[in-house]
Amino acid sequence: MHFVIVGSSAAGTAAARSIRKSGSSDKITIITEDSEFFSRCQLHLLASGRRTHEQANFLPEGWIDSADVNILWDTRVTGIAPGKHTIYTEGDSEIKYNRLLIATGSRSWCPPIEGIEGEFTFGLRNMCDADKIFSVLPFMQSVTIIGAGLVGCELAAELSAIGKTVNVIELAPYPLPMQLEESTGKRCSELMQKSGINMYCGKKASKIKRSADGIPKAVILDNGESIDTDLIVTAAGVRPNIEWLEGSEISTDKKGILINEYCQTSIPDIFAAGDVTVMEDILLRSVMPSPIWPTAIHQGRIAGINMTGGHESLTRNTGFRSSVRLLGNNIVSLGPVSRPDPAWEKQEIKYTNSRGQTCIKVLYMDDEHLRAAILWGDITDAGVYTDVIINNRDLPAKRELATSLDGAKFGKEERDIL
Amino acid sequence: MKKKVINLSKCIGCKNCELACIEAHTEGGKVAAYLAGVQNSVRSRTKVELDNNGKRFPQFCRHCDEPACVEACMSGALQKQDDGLVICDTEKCVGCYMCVMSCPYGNARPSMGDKKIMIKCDACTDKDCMACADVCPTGCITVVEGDKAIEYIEEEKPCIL
Repeated sequence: MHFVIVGSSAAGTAAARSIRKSGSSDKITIITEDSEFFSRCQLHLLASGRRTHEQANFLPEGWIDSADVNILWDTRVTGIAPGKHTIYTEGDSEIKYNRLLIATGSRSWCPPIEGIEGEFTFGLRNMCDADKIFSVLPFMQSVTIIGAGLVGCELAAELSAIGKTVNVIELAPYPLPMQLEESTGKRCSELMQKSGINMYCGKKASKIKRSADGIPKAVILDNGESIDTDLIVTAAGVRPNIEWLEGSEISTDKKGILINEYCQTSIPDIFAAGDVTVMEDILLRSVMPSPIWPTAIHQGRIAGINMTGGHESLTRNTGFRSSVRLLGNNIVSLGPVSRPDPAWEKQEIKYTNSRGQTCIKVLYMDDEHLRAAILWGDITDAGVYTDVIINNRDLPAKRELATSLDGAKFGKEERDIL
Repeated sequence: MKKKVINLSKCIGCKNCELACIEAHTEGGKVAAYLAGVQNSVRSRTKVELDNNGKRFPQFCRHCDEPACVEACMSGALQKQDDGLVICDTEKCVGCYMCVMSCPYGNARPSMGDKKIMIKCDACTDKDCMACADVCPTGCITVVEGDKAIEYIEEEKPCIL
């Protein structure tokens, strides 16, 4: 048996670990475009220089040997022939597999803005992106980030902390539009503005002005406003790495590879996990990617079990879980707060906790259940909220309880959010 | 391995376990920060609160078989060890708090103070004590030899102090 895994990030390595944990000693080959293991969630810390390559490795030291995996670094897959159980890599090398896992993730999408292609315009998705930003930073004073999602906001905070002038442009009326609603969104915008980050929310970049030798000079907004800039980072979304599957009969949609609850693709001996996949989200009931680290690890683990002949399923698949520490503020967002059901009742609670912090809870409830929540400030019991939302728990004294959930409420009862 | 047994009928909510946990995990011991009045900088890894039925419930890390905190950890700091304990490497932790968001028991917690990392029960592995059990005045928390890290039990007769 030869297990082949394409991708060496969260999902790919979790699958390899899971194959070994299932007791298999068969050959595992990981093929990856990367040159090393790194945690994609730490790229903003690498771009600013706060952490090193070595520190960003999320695997235990010596993992390749202890897990006995064969790894092909810097290797791009170019095609697949499922009928022949073969994948092709650059230079037309052939690799035969018995079971294949596709964990190729996604890549930064470059928004169609006039003049965006060119020097000193980077995404932030891979180690090489972080390296490029870090290496040019000493010569750059003003950085413009296009997109105020998690990547954009975390990078903005990092670069602002090391003294750069940071501009953030976001189409939505407030930052973190997937994680926050209007009131917390406005609060977040003010927080960033107060920290010296120039926020341009509800605005669109329409053009990049460059010097004769191609160096960025300014970003022009759709209202004509001009923002001086030396460096541009696009953080406006991602696209799945699925082009190499064309013509293979593996079912995909625009956003990724369709998988079932066993992480199988439409071809039974080909599995997929992580950001490259789409499946039904249990909270929004819509087929979509779940592009978060914990889900990638979980899908990888389930795929690994099933690749070795096991029968485990994904029962609580959702990407609506985010935690961010932004400019000293802990924020957790759970459930589809950006697309709440109109029937849900929204409740906002502001309070000062025992440590003197101003905290906010935004709760979305229907008759019986808590459906979504934003916790700002005190996130200590966020996992209990996650359990209640994901497991659709009945709340005995509904509203009252939802405002003050903690780990003791359900006593010694065993709980599972995976 | 050391197994923590919690007899729920015996908890009187004195919170000595919380204080002992703080002391055991505070540099210099002696709940130094509390004495100095700097309460914000210290935090217990355990907590006694009321459950849905109004009964006192001491919350301890369950050291789960498939820990949600470990799956959520993007730095590799949290690992399920071969001995069954879930331990955080505080040098590796970057304080993203995805573990806090993921522990259904609320036992992965953000640290207070300057170093922004997650904190959790480490079963006092680097000490010759089990701080919470050592100070428990009612025998609610005891340590025995066992094959898992923790067990909750409930006896008929409550302890009356």
